[in-house]
Amino acid sequence: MAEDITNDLNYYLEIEESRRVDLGTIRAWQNLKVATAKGKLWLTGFDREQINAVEVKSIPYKTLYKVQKGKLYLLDSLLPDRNIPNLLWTPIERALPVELPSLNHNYFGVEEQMKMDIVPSENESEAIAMLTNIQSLKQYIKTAPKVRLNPLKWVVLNGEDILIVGKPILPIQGITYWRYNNFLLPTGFDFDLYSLKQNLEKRLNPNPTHWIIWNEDNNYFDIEKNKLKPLSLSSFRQTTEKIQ
Amino acid sequence: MKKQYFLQVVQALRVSEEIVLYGHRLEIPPKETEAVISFLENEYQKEILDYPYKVPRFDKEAALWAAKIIYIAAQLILYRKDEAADLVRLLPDYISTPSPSSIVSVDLCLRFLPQMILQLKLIDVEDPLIDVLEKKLSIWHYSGIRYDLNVEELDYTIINSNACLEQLYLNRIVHFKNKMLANLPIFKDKINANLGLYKKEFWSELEDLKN
Repeated sequence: MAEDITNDLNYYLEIEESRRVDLGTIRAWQNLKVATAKGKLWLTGFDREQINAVEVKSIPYKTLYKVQKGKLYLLDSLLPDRNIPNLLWTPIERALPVELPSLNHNYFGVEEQMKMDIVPSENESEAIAMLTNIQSLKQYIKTAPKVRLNPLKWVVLNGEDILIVGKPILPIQGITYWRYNNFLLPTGFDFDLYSLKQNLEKRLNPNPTHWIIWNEDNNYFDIEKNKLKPLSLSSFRQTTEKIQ
Repeated sequence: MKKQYFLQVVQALRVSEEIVLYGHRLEIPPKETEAVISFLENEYQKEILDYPYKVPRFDKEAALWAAKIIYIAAQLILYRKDEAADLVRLLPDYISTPSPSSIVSVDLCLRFLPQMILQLKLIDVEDPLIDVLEKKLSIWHYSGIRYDLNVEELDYTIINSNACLEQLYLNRIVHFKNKMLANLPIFKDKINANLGLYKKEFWSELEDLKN
């Protein structure tokens, strides 16, 4: 089958260098390459669709060429116009860098707020805390080796739920948490604006006296760190006796 | 009221883990034994809160016997007027063989024996009392896990017969990091099961248990 010759066609765009701002609309096309020569900007790398796109058509004062047999033809012309210029090409992102607008000193939009959401995260982090309930812990702790309990601290939250902090965590059912400073975040989750965690923590917990435990639904509760007591079978038995 | 020396020694031992002696008093008035037993039973009730599985019941006789052994042994360390032959008479063996409840009850006081023997060794390595006490420990070896006993010769059948005692025994092996015991075939698998994936974190020197 014959090859579609249009696939091999190469296009060039020429424009005055002073008009580079007009190229803003096509800057996002990363397949383009840019070169400068004698006050002109040359662009190449367009495919057929791009050269016919509105974005290109809307650029004023441009000249479009297509390549045929080593010559540049004006688009829609049958006569060769010039030779292919011999140029040094750079990717368009580098050739046309984005500039930030200068700082607006009259801007007072400091009331704006940002919402921090907890979202699933790819980063793996070690679980160091667990939220479970008395029943699950009871099953395990009755026969647990002491060495597993020694590194752990625990607290009963509302007469039913239990927070255990320390590692290694126990082999029982529950929600596990990983630690960021004094935040306990559910494992497999992180803030979408994760680099703001530190600021958020300063806001919520200026003195690190509390653990702040986050749920997947963006709610949190805090618990004073010195309320956590070493976990042992006797501590468990005495506590649960008091609750019942 | 007359001072209850025996009771005071046992209380000091249990509460602050030290021996306070009040002179050479090998005789124990029978009245005091009642008080000591009820004190030890009280201590036992506090301790079993931390024991896993079904806890063996308190064995009065055994606990009292152990308290007496400690009381007399401590005095013999300090004031020795007796001949070597008298040691066996002064420190009799327990009347029956160990059972889970007597092992745990005896341990209330006998757990302090290893340190006493070490103290004795510092004073005189060839003291005949060392042998007598070591023999006691190798019968009641749950109390002697921290002491360097000849682990090959001990009898472990009772230990393995009771889930609570066995778990306590394993806890103590791990706590005192007794490698000799941990490497015995009867404990090896169970220690491995206790430590699980976290063997490195809990007991990093235990390389022999790899397989």
